[in-house]
Amino acid sequence: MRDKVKFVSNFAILGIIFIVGFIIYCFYAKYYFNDFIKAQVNPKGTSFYRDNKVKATRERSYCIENSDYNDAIFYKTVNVEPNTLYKVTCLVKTENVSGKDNDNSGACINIIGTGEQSRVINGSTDWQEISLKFDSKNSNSLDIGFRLGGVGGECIGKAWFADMKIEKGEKDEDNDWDIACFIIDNINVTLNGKAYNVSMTQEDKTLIKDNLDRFEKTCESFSNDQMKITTHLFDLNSTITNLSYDETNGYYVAPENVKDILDPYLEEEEYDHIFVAIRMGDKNKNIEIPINDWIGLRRNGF
Amino acid sequence: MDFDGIGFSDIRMPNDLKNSYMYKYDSRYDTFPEEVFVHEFLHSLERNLKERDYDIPALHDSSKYGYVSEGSDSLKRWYHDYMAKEIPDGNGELIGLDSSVYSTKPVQESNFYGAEQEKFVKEPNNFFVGMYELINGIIKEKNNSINLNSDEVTVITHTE
Repeated sequence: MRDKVKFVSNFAILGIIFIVGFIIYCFYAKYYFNDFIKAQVNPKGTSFYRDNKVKATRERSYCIENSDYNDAIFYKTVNVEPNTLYKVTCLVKTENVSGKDNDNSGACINIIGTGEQSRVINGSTDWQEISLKFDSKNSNSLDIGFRLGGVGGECIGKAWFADMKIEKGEKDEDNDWDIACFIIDNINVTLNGKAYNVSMTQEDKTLIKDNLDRFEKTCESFSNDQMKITTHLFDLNSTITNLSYDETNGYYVAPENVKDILDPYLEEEEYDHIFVAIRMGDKNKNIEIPINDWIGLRRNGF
Repeated sequence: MDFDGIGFSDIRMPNDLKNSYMYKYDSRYDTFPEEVFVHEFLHSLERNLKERDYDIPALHDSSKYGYVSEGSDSLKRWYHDYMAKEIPDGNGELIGLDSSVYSTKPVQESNFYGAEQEKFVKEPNNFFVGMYELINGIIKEKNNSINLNSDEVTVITHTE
């Protein structure tokens, strides 16, 4: 009888150990994030977990779920060699991701403390690869993360990240610069219920070509021939159908507004700087897209 | 295509081109019509050096160093001295863009041809190592404070 009681109590203890161990394992399987540190701007509204059901490889994917608008990231401090090129890639899948105030927030790769981030993925998308190439500059370490949000942006939705990789590149240290100028013939947009349809003229295009030629010679001359520039001019009979806006500039053309137009050219050749020449108004036709007094505008594609 | 680090500039035609001297070479009114292109491109070089902690003059600080628009030449002399590193700093030194910038180009996909990929993180060898790192990670997060927001530089040229 005593042996029976002892057997049952041992069995119960083993059972409890097994159940506790199973619970701990389930907790570990769901929440173990390797060396990544999790962070978010708003303390509530985001959950981070490993997902064994939605994954791109054999390993569990890393999921960020913003049930409310938030900017959330899981990141790792990576030791880097200064002045070295790196590329981080991952696979990402999204579900109902949308930005709060702009489309420049979503699922992306980001280096914390800099403006450097990959293109952002929003909406509901299947697994696709995104990457971020960067120069470590003077840094010995960088906080590199996988983000659902963005610089200055919050978003809602779910994103899964998988198969994260990093590679080191070789610098190209010659002084030959390839600079592209894309003349985009037309802008056809509706802004605040008003339609704007404006096109480049032949005179516009001639002036752009002349100035691009002058720019090439001027930069070589001013740099005392320390740089050699080759310009590439493209006259595209294309139409921009959406513009970007901010309070400082009013409306302008951002890389995402012309990505589909330029991608076929940019996939063929690499360029070290891109100009986009556009017309955003025509006084003769009483067309004036609202801008805040700029004639040239630079964005670094970040 | 991802624009990582590649400068991207809008060049806008004036709404009233007929009555504007923008972009038109004229020996009386504008001998530096390519100025907007040069200016926008130089902002990329400026940013490149500043991110590497070079102490260089700001591209918009021409007046601070005594440069003014010189009639039809506009700020041509400023841009020349900026690129050639010939701006007098008032202390007997000449400053401007460091020549290293001319061979420091944006990162391109071709820089990674043949590069070896490594996993960003490796799953732990066993459950106990993983549990230790999980608990360690929770402690790190509680003690960690980071700022997720950072500056994005946008530059405007008011030359109209």
